[in-house]
Amino acid sequence: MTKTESKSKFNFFKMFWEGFTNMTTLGKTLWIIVIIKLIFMFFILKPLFSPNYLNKNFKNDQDKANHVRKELIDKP
Amino acid sequence: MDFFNASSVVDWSRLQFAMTAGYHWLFVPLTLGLAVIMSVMETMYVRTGKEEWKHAAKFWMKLFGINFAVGVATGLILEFQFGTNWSNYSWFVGDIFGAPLAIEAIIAFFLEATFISIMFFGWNKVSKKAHLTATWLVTLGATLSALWILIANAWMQYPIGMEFNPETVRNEMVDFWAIALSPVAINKFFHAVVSGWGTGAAFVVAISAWFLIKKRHNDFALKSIQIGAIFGFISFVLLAITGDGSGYEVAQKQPMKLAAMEGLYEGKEGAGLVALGVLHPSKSDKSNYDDENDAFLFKIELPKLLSLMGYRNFNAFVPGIKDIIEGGYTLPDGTMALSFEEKKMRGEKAIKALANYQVAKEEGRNDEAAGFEAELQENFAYFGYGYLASPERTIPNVPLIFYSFRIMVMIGFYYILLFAMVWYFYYKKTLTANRWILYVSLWSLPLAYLAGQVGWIVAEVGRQPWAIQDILPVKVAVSSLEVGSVITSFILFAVLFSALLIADISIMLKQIKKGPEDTDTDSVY
Repeated sequence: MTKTESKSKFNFFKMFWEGFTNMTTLGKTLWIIVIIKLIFMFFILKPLFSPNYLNKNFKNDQDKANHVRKELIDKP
Repeated sequence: MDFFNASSVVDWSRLQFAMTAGYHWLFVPLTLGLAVIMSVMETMYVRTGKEEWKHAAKFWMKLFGINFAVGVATGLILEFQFGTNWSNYSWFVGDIFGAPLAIEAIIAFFLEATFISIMFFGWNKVSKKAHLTATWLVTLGATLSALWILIANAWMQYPIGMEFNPETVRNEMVDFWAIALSPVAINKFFHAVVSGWGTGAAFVVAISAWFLIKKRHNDFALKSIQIGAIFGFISFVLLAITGDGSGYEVAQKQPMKLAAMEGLYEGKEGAGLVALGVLHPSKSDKSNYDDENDAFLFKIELPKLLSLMGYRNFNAFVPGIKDIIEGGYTLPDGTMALSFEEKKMRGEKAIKALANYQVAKEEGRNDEAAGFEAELQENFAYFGYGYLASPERTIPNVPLIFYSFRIMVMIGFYYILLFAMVWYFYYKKTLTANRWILYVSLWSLPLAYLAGQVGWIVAEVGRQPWAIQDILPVKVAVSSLEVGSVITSFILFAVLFSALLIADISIMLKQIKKGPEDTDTDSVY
């Protein structure tokens, strides 16, 4: 990675592009961890093992409200 | 008394949330603390022009980035659980919980994520001051994230600013600022964030001590200890102050939690603060809350300090567990405390009114429905008591809270002393000649993390049996799931978090061993 002395007009996207293309092994490792983690969380954990209980079992807000009301009234 | 019932959905859901929250709180404090430290070091660089400060800032920024990348979004797993395991709670709280979390995601996270890219990619591409601004904005973003989460948690401890709508079965926010500026929220925010600062400082001093022990990068290590020790000392002193504030708020709003923290069964005027003590084993059985045994086998008490902390009056009456259950004492607002039986009766009235309201509405008896709604609102403050079969159900796990609180406080005072000593040796330029203080600084690091964990145990186990103080007990908040599905998700979350923690530690250790030389490039990453 060479040092750049230029202070010419700042380009946010150019900074991003250069940052990503010149990333070190550590940076790439961390990005892989982030991506794998998010894929695992959102495409495996959430839909298969942690779905929203009310969204999964009830069609609309009225049904959800009725369910929760029943739970509140009937719970021992 | 069962500590954990392996066939209980409630117990597994609680354990799962505790496990994931505990793991999450391993990453967050370091993010909060390192953010400030790296910002201060970069400020030193911009002010002095000395490259050594830039190298130091970049090294800690690298470790910040590792911790941030591995820990980011782990908080979402806690949010997943609200929808899966705690659906009754999730619906019941309405937008009160959702709004702060949404604000956190939109404002705080995007602030962090936007400026973090300039922080890592922008060296030598933007001016020094612009880069420094970005670094401080990352720190601000991380801190703002904590703010909104803690506002949401504070509402669970002290529900305020809402009205319950029996039609939708949801609590509706009627006063956003009452929630956002709740004294519990403000105090909790400062205490939690400053605890992160303390953890970050302990981390920096520990790692720097390691470099000095290894006789590597001495100048860098000494500069880091200079900042870390001062910042750490200030942080832990602030923790003592905000901790006092927490004690005051707990006394006012959650007297049972305070009684559990102190092992106080019989209330008294001029109550002392227990510095050290061993609880009588019989009190582990909650049904013995009013037996003849002294609560303690042994204790050292600081006279009158509990009254002072809780009520700002050396002679104030501090109710014990028995008093809170039996009622009949004067509350801070001048009213008389209700007994458990009275609260239970009101709670049962509220639950019955909710049921009757629904039937009346369905049958078109709107005038009657209005009457039931009024009865519900009148007794809503005690709604949760209607579910509790006996007064013992209102008592949290006293030994766990009592000992956790003492561990947290002792570590806090230990670190005030440790940072003072480190700074003293640094000032006298005798740090490297006194290697024992370096070893102590290094090996003390786990204590900083332990303090954070037991602090949350006090806050959250002390809140039991409530998901929302006085209004919704945990056993009603939980979803009607099969226990097997909760166990499965528990195992998966444990595996995920363990893998992330192992990755975090191993990558960090590798970079620490490399030391700060490699940071002398344009990009830290």
